[in-house]
This record gives sequence, C-alpha cells and structure tokens, in this order.
Amino acid sequence: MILNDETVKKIKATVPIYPQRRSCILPALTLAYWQEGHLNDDIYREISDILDLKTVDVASAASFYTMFPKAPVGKYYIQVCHNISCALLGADSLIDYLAQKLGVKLGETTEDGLFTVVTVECLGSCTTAPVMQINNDYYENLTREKVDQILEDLRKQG
Amino acid sequence: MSEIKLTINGREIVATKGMTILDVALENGIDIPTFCWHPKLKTVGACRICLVEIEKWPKLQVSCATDATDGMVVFTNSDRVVKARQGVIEFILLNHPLDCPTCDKGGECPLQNVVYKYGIDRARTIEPRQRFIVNEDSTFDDLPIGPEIIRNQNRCIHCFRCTRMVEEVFEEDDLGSYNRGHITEILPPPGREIRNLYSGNVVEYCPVGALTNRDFRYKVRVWLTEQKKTICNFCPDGCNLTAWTFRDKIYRTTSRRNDRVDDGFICDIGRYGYQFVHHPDRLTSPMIRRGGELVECTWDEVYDAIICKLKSIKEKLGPEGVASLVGEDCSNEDYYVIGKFLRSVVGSNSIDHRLHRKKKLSYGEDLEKLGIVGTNLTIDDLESPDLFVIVGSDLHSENPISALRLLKAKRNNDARLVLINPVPSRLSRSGTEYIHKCNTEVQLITCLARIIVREKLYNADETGLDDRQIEKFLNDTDDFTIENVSDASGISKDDLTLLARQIAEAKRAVFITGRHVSLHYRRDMVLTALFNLALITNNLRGDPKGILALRIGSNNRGCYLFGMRPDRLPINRRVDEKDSLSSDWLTGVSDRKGADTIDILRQIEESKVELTFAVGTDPVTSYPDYNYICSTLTKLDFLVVADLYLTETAKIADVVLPLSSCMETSGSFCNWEGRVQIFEQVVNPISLSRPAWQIFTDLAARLEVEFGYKSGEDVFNEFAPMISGDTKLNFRTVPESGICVPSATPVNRSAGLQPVSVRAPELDQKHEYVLITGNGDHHIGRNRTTRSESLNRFQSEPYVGLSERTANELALSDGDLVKVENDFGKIVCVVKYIDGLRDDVVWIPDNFPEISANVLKNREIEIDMVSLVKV
Repeated sequence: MILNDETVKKIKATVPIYPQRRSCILPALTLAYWQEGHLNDDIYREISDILDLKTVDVASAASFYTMFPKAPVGKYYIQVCHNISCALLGADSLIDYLAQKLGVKLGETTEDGLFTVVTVECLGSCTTAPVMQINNDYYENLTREKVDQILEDLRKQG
Repeated sequence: MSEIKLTINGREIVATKGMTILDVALENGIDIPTFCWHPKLKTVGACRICLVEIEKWPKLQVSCATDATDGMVVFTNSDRVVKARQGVIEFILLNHPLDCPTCDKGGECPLQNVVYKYGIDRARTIEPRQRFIVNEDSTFDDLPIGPEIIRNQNRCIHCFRCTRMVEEVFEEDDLGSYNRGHITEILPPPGREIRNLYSGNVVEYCPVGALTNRDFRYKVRVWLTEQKKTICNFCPDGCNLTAWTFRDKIYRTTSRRNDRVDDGFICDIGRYGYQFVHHPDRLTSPMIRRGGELVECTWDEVYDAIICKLKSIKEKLGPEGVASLVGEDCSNEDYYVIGKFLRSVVGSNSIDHRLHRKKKLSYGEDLEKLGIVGTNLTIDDLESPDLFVIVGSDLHSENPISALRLLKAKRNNDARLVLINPVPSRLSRSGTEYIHKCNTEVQLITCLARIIVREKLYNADETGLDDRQIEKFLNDTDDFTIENVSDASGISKDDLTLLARQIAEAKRAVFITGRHVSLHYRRDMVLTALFNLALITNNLRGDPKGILALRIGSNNRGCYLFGMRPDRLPINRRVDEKDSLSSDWLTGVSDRKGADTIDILRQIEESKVELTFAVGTDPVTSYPDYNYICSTLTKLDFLVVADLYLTETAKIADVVLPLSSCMETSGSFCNWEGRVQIFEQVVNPISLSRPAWQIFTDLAARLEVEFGYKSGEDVFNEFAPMISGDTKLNFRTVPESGICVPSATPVNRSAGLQPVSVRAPELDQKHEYVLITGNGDHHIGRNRTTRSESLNRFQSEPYVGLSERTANELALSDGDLVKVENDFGKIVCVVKYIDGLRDDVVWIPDNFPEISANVLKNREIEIDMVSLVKV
C-alpha cells in the first residue's frame, strides 16, 4: 500500500459527502497527491479499491487534471506561468533561464532532487506577472535577479 | 404519449412528444449526419455535426439533443446549416490525418462520407497535426490495446462511442479516455488490455479508422467484398450477422442489427468465430477405413459402403439396428432431413441429440406438463423485468447477448440481478452473487419459497393458493428450514432472508437457469422448485416474467422443433400424433418410440444396434463417460461420422464424411425464443464437403427415395408451412423477424404447488473436490472456437481453476502443473487461481483439445468428484 492509514481514512470520509460515489475521485486524488507529492497507476488502483470504483474512472479523471504530477517531482515544484500576461512580460525567456540555470529540461528534476520546473496555465495573478508558483507559494513580478535569489534561498533551506 | 406536428424541410410531420429532432428526421428518412450519436448509446451532443436550423431560434441546435416540439419549423439542409457543418468538419479535421489511402476504414468510414458530402477543399491552419507517435520510424501509429483491437489515436475524433459503449452497455471497465483536449487518448486502464467478451463492437461502432481489429485490417478493401446475411451459430441467442466475402472466402462477420434479437451488438465469439470455416483442419474428402486406416475416397465409394451396410444390418436386425446421434449445432434443414431419412426411409425412430446426459430422467414429461420446458418469453421481454434471478448459469459466457438485455433492464428500469451459482460468473459484477455449495439448488430455492410463505409475503388472491395448499407445502418441505438450508448451502441465514424478500417484492421477476442446471443430475427437481417459487411470488407468467430454462447447444431448440428425439416428430409432435401433421412422408413412420442416447448406447452393447450415424457431434470428448463411450462406439459394426474436422469420434469411425458448415449452405436456425431465422449461403462448400441435408438426401436417393432437395432453401420451403401454419410461406418471404414458434405447452398455473424432494447424489466419497466444467474466456463448446485464431488470442490453453486457498493447501501456485484424477482417468494441466471459487470445487474450461474433462466422468456417478495431486 502506498497510501497511509490517515489518507485512506480521509478518503473514506469523503464518501458520505456526495450523492454519487464517483464524485469522491477528485478529493481522493488530491489527498493522495498531498501525501505522495505525485500520482501513479498504483495509487489509482488503491483509490479505486478504497472507493469501490472502476480503476479506469480514477485513472482517466487523474489524467484530465494536468496539475497533478504523474511522476515524482523535486522538493520544490516550480510551476511557471506561460500564459498571455506573463508571456508579454518575458515569461518565455524566464523559463529558458530557469531551466538553463538548473541544468534541466522542462518537466525534469535536478540531480539533487530539489527542483522540478514545469510550465503552467494562468495562475490568476496577471497583475503581478510574470509569476511562478513553488509548492504552495506564489513568487511575483519576477526578474532574472529575483529568480537567482529565490533559488539560492531555497537551496540554503535544502 | 401526445402527438405533435412539426415541419422539417417544408414537410409536415407527425411525431410523438419526447422524440428528438434527430429521431423524427431519421424516422422519416431525412438524413442528418452523426458521429457521437448512436441509437444504442446515450446522447452526449459532443461532435455537433448534426446541427439544424430551427425557425425563431437564434442559434443552430444539435438535433440529437433537442426535443421536437409542436409547431417547430426545422431545416436540416439550409445554407446556414451546410456552412455550419462545414465548420464543424474543419474543426474535426484539424488533427485528423487525412491518411485515407492507407486507412483500413476507407470506403466504409462515416467521417470520409460526411466530408465527401459537405467537403471543404482547404485547411486554414498550417500547424502540424497532433500525432500520437508509437513508432518513430513509421507513419503508422498503430498500437495494439488488446488481443484483437488496434488503436490509431491520430484518427480519433473523440466521439467516445467506444468508451461509452464499454461503460454503459457492457458494464466493463477495460477502456477509458485519458488526458484532455486534442491530446485525449483512448486506452485500457494502466497495465491492462481491452479483452472483454464484447470488445469487437468498438471497432464496428468507431466512425473513423481509429479502432480496427487484427482479424480484418488490411486484408481486403471493403468495396470489393460481397455481403451475405447469416445467423450466428455459437449460442442459442441467434444474433443476426453479415458475412463479408471476397473470392469465396469470408473476411469478417459483423452485426446485422436486429432490435428484436441482438439489439445491434454481437459478442467476440460471433465476430471472430467464423474463422473455423477456413481452418486447415477442415476435412477435405470423404474417408473410409481400409486395413485399419482411414483413407480418402470418393463420395460414391462412401455412399456405396454406407448403403451396403445399411441394407445388410436392416436385414439382420430390422430398422431399429440403425440409430443416429446428432449434434446441437446443425441447421433445422439438417435435422429435418436426417429425421425424414431415418424415420421414413430407414424406418428407425432411434435418434437423439441429448448426449450430455448420464442417466434417464423423468423430467421431460413432468416439466412439459408444468409448461416450463420451452418458454414464451422473448429476448426483447428481458428488457422490462425488475428482477432477474439467475440460477446455475454463467449467462455472460453462455448467452452473451441475452446477458446484455439484463444490463439494459438494469440501466433503464433499475432491475436487480441476483445470481445463485455454484461457481462465480462474470455477470456478478453487475449484480449480487451467492455462491452456494454444489447441488443444494433445490433446498435453496425451496427455502426461499418457504421464507416468503412464512413471512406472508405472497398474495393469496393473485396466486390462487389457498391455505390448505400452503400448509401442505410447508409440511412437505419441513426439512428445508432456514437453519438446515443455510448449513447445507453455505449461504447465511441473513442472505437467504434478504434474497427471499427481494424476490417477494419484485413486480416482474424472471428466473433464468443455464448450464449448471441443464447438466444437473436432478434438473427436474431444480426446475420444479423454481416453478413453486415462481407460483408463490406470482411470477409464472403474464407481463415479461416466468422461468427461462436455457440450454447449451446453439440450435438446441431446433432439435426440439424438428424432432431429434426418439419420441418426437417435427414441431415437437409425439410419434403417435403423426396424423396431426399433414406430410406425405410421415404416413410410413413407425408409431413406436425409438431409443434415446442412453438406450442407443445400451443397444450397441447388446449388439441390437450395429450402425450409427454421428452427425456434427463428437461424443468421445463430450459424452460424460469417456471410457464407456469409447468402448461402446468401437463395438459398433459400422460408425458413420459426419463432421467438420477429424474429431476424436471421427478417428474411430468406419467412414468419415466431410460436413459443410452453416456458412456453406442456406437454411435456418431456431434460437432460444423459438424464433426460426434464415441464413444465406455465404461461400461454396469447402473442398468436397457437403451439408448434412444433402448427404441424407443423397443416401435416400440411393435407396430409391427422391427427396428432391437441391438446396437448404428447398428443405425450408417444405417445412415452413408446417411450423408457421402459413401455406404460402417460403424462404424468400420469411419476415426479418423470423418465424416465431411458440412453446408447445403454456405454463400450467393450475397445477399448483409441486412436491419437491432431495436425495443424496451417487458420488465417490474417496475424492474431496467437485468437478465443474464450463466455458473458457471467448470460447463456447469444443472444436469450433478453438479453431479461430482470433479467439485463441484471448485464451488458447486450458487450465485447472482452483481457489487460492485450495491451491495454497496443496502448495500449488498459479501456473504450476496439477494432476486431477479419480478412478476413471486423469488430467494434467496448469493451475489458475479463480477469485470467489469455493474451496471444494475444481473448475475446468472444457473447450480445448489438450484435455477433455469427460475422462473424469462416469455415467453411474452423479456428482463428479476428483482428487488433486501436485506434479
């Protein structure tokens, strides 16, 4: 079992909330993601067993939501917005810079396991573009210098 | 249902409220293109190709999801509609590869046809099309996603017919859609394949070339093929098929939708089973035994040999020295002519199709009096009950398409499925299954009836049961208390009570029995117990309800209809009622009952029968006593075997006649409803083979009786008036719905509650496991389905199914070899764990040539018991 007792308990607790069992899939996927930091086929099977649903439904719902990583990611999951406002303010070159600086391609994790960089659709913070989200925090009005500083700080924290 | 009037394209049309615009249009022959919409699936309104213009509505609407209303004025072909459809097509084609010249769907592709009709001649985008690359070196992105199904995601237009069908109609879980937007792809769940019994339908329903099957892809272009109407002959459902041929070879069979019967779906066995026709194992020439060896010879030679023997044996022993065993997969025409030959030309009534039976049972007559041998239910009727009680049947593998109707009833009117089985069945995923200890069906069913009576859950007025009858029933069955039965059957008291209440609550219940009851040593009692239960719950007859006792052979009902029994003539008339049938040939037929299988075999032992015809049947592997059938048949002076292949029985025959399959002649089958449906000749007979009706017509001619049949059609035309009561009816005028021959005797409610009893079966106490056989995945019966390459891709090897616990006790793992043995024989085979199997049961799929379970059976032993030894 990948999912621990606490996650299983929380997933089971979603069952009475919804009129349809299938509605529990998204909360269950989120709970599993919070525990594991990513999702995979084994997790889909476990969730479908816990909820007594078809694996195909769980797997296909998970695949629809691109913001669930489907493979292990670094300790700091960097999601850089590449939509219109950020793009106009240089998101593309920022993304290239970030990738180059970390020595990874988009979607890859640094060798030390600290960083994964991906692009993401609009984060809803156009007024402070360009924006990126690292784990649950927003970093706004980015410049190359700011990015350098952020990465350095995070490295220090380890 | 109120009537509405609307105008479509200037034409005034009357329709029923609740219909969509598309329904109305299609019903009135107005063409509207569709991709995602399909009559057999729920509407999703996703593809938007069916847009129509409605007067006073500002925007175009999808006709599949817009209800027709009174006074509506609709245009399906206005300039606005055409332009909009062209726009939709442009969107659909954004990522569709336009690889039509190398696409296997070409020529029968709904997308190709719609583009052809509404075509746009240029693309406005320059971006490359989305590719789902499977192999970098190839432009064919073909990905096998199951044993038969190959997916090319590039061509998919996201109509989701396939995934919706798998989920809604089949209630399976082996296909889904992943990701979203233009990168959405169709795949089985992680680590699995699409391999459900209905998987082939996704190919047929795919409106583009995204899903194709190995069987047919790139073999022939569809426009070169000829299509013939045929009927599936693997189970008694009788699905309508189209056979696609090119240069006298069948390339595929597809559903020829008949809503009364198959509802537009066929199972994979029907779809890929046809491959047995062209299998190299087919017999190519008649054979005769010379010097101990079977050698090829001409038809004249075999006919002469048979006639010579026939005459001498008839002289020596009288006509009863000749008998015939027939298989249950032949056509009605074959049965009719075999019966006519044996009864009127030879003069023997010793003819039987019931080869799976060990002992004589009294049931035939008794059950016939109760009226539950045949049925007056139709497949259609299975859509409306609110409860199905399935007893001793893996309906999913025995009658796959009837099983879909149960799921439809579940979908449409929340019908409940309850299964009472000795071994787990596939349908359990859609209902509640109770696995009981073997051979406790009678106690179980009677106990349920008792619970209903004791809890006063029955309606005395409706059922016509008075207190005296009820009291007698309770007294007679006082052994079957809930405590006793719960102990005996292994089903908890709570479950029994729950089950009884569910049955009592149902408004319309149908009780379905199948293979395990059919082969039960006390089938009569199981069905009598069900009769009582149905009587008490007022489910004997009326709106779709009643008892449906399904049998194994595909044309079993045809055997009944055409008198393949020693005491029956066509339309199931007794031999002493022959005067009620007006047919010349019947006048000379003996009034005396002939011998049934058991008697024929005994008479062979006693040398009272010396010549036996075995037509389309392989008793050596199917009769439930291998040693006895072998020793008996070899005692025969002359064994004539007519079959498709050199079966085990053919190997010991004196002459072997190559039989043509139903694809090589015209004729008819009778499905379990009693519906006689005709099929056309699809290809010419393979090599020198001949259909059975022709063989017996030829033999009669050599005895100077001219039957005069030139084709299966001629035979059909002779018996058609007899079965339909319509003297004008012939092969050419049979309606699409076939001819429905109702059950001979209606259900006899007034018979009242019947006595039931149980007795301990005769069994061998030395062995601890009960042997139960059934069908493997994608196989039915022996000989034919295992000669289909496609079906063998699903399962090609036999196994011994054990519960994980039993296997562990014997230190056996999945895949280990185990010896299954008893005093009569042994089988060595690999072990497979079966979820939910009882610990005292050994389950063997009895379809494969490597093993035949009848070596473990003995006709004296009612319950086959075996021991297991690790090899």
